[in-house]
Amino acid sequence: MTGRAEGLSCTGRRAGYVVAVFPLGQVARHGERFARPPGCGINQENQSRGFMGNLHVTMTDIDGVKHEFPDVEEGVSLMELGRSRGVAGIMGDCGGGCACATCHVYVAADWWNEVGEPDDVEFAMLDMVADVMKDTSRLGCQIKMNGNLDGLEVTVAPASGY
Amino acid sequence: MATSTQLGASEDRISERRELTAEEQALLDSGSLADTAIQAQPNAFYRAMRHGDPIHYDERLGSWLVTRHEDIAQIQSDPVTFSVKHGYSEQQARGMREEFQAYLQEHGGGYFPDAIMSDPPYHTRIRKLMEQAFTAHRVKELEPRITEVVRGVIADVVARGDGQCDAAKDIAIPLTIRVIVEQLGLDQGMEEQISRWSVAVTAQIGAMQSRETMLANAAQIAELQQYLIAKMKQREANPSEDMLSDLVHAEVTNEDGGKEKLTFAEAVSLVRATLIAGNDTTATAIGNLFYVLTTRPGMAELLESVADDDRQLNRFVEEHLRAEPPVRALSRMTTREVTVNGTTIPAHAHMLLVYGSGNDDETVFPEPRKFDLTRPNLGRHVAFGGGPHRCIGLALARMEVKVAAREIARQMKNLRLAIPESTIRYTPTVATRTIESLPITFEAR
Ligand code: HEM
Ligand code: FES
Repeated sequence: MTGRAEGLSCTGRRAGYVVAVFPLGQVARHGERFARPPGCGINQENQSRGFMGNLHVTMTDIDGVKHEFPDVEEGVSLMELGRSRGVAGIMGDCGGGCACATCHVYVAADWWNEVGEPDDVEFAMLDMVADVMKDTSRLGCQIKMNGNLDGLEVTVAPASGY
Repeated sequence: MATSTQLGASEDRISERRELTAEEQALLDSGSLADTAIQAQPNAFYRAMRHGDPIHYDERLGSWLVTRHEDIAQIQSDPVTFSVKHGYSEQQARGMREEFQAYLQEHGGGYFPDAIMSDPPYHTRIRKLMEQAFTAHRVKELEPRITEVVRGVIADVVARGDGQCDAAKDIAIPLTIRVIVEQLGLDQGMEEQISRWSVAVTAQIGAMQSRETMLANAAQIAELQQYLIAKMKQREANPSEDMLSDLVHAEVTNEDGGKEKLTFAEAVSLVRATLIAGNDTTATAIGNLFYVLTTRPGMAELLESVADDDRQLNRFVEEHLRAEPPVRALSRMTTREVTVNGTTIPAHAHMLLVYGSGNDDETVFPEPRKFDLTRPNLGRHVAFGGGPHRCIGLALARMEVKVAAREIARQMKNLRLAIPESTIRYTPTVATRTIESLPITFEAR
């Protein structure tokens, strides 16, 4: 299902909707590294996402509890997964907007190459929680599951410090 | 280390109370956030509360003031016990709500309760609708256009050639209005009106209105609503490529998975919230930037040294929002009796989360009055709140402040306050700490 089909009735007026939501003229494309859901800017996710697939994710929460999720759907972010399953430490305050760092995870070393580096926007957010940032830090909302990530292991980062 | 999930669970956590000096004790005993002198210079009052009585009942306001960072985080993480819906409606037009509502029913096309100022699960659905419009990546794509707008506003002021302006009224306010108006698809050139409307809407949560000012503000809000309703009716018939059209036609997914169109009243409230929530706040942040640049030794040089370094500039903006938070305190109401940090608060009590104090909490930010770009936990500040009600427009706000900072550094130099610092007036409100007018002098670069 595409974001568009789930989204608002802003559909069908035009493709490349980013321009439409913020009609501020030119939109600079920053390459395809930014995995952005299609559809309109005002959006909603289907809350049941993440429960019907067959991808496997292991997530260790901030209390050290290891959660095994064998049924993750393609396209679901680690933030959506953690939040919908009540994984301690995954808050997702900004709803996946890459703007709050309350979905911060450490990717297992073996998986780092497959998961890849954060882009500039994500790095800027991680820099705000530098005290708990590591070389393998990513924001969970920016990691969307796909076949290549089947078996992924991550650990939820503790909240930035006092 | 504690996190908000852990915090949410414990009602028996108690922070250390410290011995207060006689001066601090006197401030705690006689001070109130309703006092305009304290509103203008609040940090000593905040500190006295944090150290002596962290969840302090302010008798004049009839509100519990939550002042420690940890307690604020705990309360934010439990939006059901601490209701925004009830807190906000209690605060709205305090003591005069019925008259306020009746006025809008009669003159403003209706009374439209704020759909976003609600509690889960309804809030969760409304919020999902709005979230994707303001992601950091979308805002990054807007950077060139925002830069164009900001550059233009500052260039116009510089081009006047007299080297003076009101940094709040000539720059900060029109700039933020132009950006949000463009996003929504409203009309440009109405800065003055929209600014008046914003002030009237935010005054409703400020707890400082007399009946007279409430009615004057209600008249402004009625005018705002009539304007929005006309625009939205237009978009209902002829959708165009803007957020206004999206909201008019928006649908939310209900618990049973079924879809339901937003009511027109909900849509009006969301357009109003988007227009207003981001205006005053962001303008305040930019006004405060001019304030620190003109009054704090070394700040102008510091800005100049980071203006072309994206990473450092991001840190500069974040530390600025921490050190000079535009939003001071926002409302919650308890839905049951609850104990937080040793203080038992009765059911149906009004509370204010004092974000301004949370950002000044030395247990989280050592030497809080120091402007320090290298803080390793910058992102922990609560200028944007936190938890499920965390600011929706935060990425946009950061970008606007950042672009403004960069353009100030590029186009202006030798910024000076044109009035004595002691005469700066702050808007009388508990909700924000806003400089109303900031005359400055400068030289063109
Ligand atoms: C520097 C500028 C800004 C500051 C300091 C700020 C601050 C805040 C704070 C503290 C909250 C939390 C409310 C609570 O705890 O009850 C909030 C919520 C909100 N803000 Fe902002 N804001 C800013 C800019 C913006 C902008 C630009 C927009 C929109 C374009 C916006 C839209 C909202 C909305 C809709 C909410 C309600 C969210 C909810 O209750 O779920 N804000 N903001
Ligand atoms: S949910 Fe906010 S950054 Fe990931």
